[in-house]
Amino acid sequence: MSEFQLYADEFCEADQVDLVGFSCRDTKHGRYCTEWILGPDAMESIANYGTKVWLFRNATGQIVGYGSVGTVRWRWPLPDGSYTSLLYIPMLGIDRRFQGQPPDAQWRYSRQIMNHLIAEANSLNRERKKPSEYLLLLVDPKNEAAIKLYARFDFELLPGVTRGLGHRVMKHRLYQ
Amino acid sequence: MSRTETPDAPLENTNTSLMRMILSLHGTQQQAFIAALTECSDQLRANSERLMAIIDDPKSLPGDKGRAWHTLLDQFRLLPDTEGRYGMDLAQSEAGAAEKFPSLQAEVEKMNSQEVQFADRLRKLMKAKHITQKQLAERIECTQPAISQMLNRKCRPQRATLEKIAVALQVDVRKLWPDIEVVDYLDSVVEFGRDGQVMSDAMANALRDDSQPQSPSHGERLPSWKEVKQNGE
Repeated sequence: MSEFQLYADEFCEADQVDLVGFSCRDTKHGRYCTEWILGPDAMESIANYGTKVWLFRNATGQIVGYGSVGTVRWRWPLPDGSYTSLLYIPMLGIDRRFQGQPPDAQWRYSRQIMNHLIAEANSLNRERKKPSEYLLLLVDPKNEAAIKLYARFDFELLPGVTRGLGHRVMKHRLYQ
Repeated sequence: MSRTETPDAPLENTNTSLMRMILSLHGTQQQAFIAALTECSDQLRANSERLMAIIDDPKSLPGDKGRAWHTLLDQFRLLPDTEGRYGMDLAQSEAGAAEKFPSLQAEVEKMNSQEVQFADRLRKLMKAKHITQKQLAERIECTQPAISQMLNRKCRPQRATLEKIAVALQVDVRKLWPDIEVVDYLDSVVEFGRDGQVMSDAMANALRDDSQPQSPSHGERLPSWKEVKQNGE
């Protein structure tokens, strides 16, 4: 096994102490990601919406990053108006020390994390009577690195769809 | 990152001298000592046992025994300060150091999440303006437990609540939460996950458009670090 192998465990309150010093960089995007996991949002999302959050560690136990997968029930617009369940990635982040690492693309941390989240989304889908066709995520349109990364995992920007402060939505059509 | 391991049976390996010493302490001090010993690192516990051996050794001089005893209590911060307080409050210590050395202020702030800073700022502002949790709750039309949760970092206030608090305390909203864009983004993430919302036409069209091929990727689940550690691999 490579020294760059990541490990994933579901995030729980007891893990919060391990996150002291965790920072996804002091950029606008970095601060969103840092605050979500260090503040109460992650725990609230787990408690209130059943979101699954994982901490990713390297072999020595250092926290490399985190990721999450949640489900949401939205209504189609009228006249249909029925509910549809969707899977989405509320947030993911990589600690500044591990961003762009390791140089070997096969073991790149971002790649391992995305692969894990897609596997978990597929696994959640298999447990459902009516599987979700898409896995969605929100992205800041100025965060080109993130858009490139998601595109590598078959995420496409939804045309004409913006949320909140002009954030874009991307969709990944899950393997059925 | 350094980690302090908490053993499953924390006092099982504690030597008999140390146990006798624990039993000789009075109620509160005994509880505090046991708590400290349970949570301390292996190194600190080994130090305690060395000091206890000095106290227990009949050949030790009375002065050495006294110093060992003092060091033992001091290393677990069980000796009161001049105001009769035990231990050191980390936040107080950081704030004090940052006051003495302004260059540390930025570092201290970076260590805390914004939400932690918000709770501290709100507490200070309420104290300075002599406003109780109940009064603030009335002014912003929420409940006192909601204010308590914010102060105790149990929930993050939404942008609208922050603005109401800022008006109630007559301060700029950035005094409460300087990086207001973070709040806006986190609010939009919460909003995205809200059940029951009606999707926009553009969103519905994009989801009904099935021209995107299914991704061939099944993903790959990562192994559990906790399981690997537990199995001693």
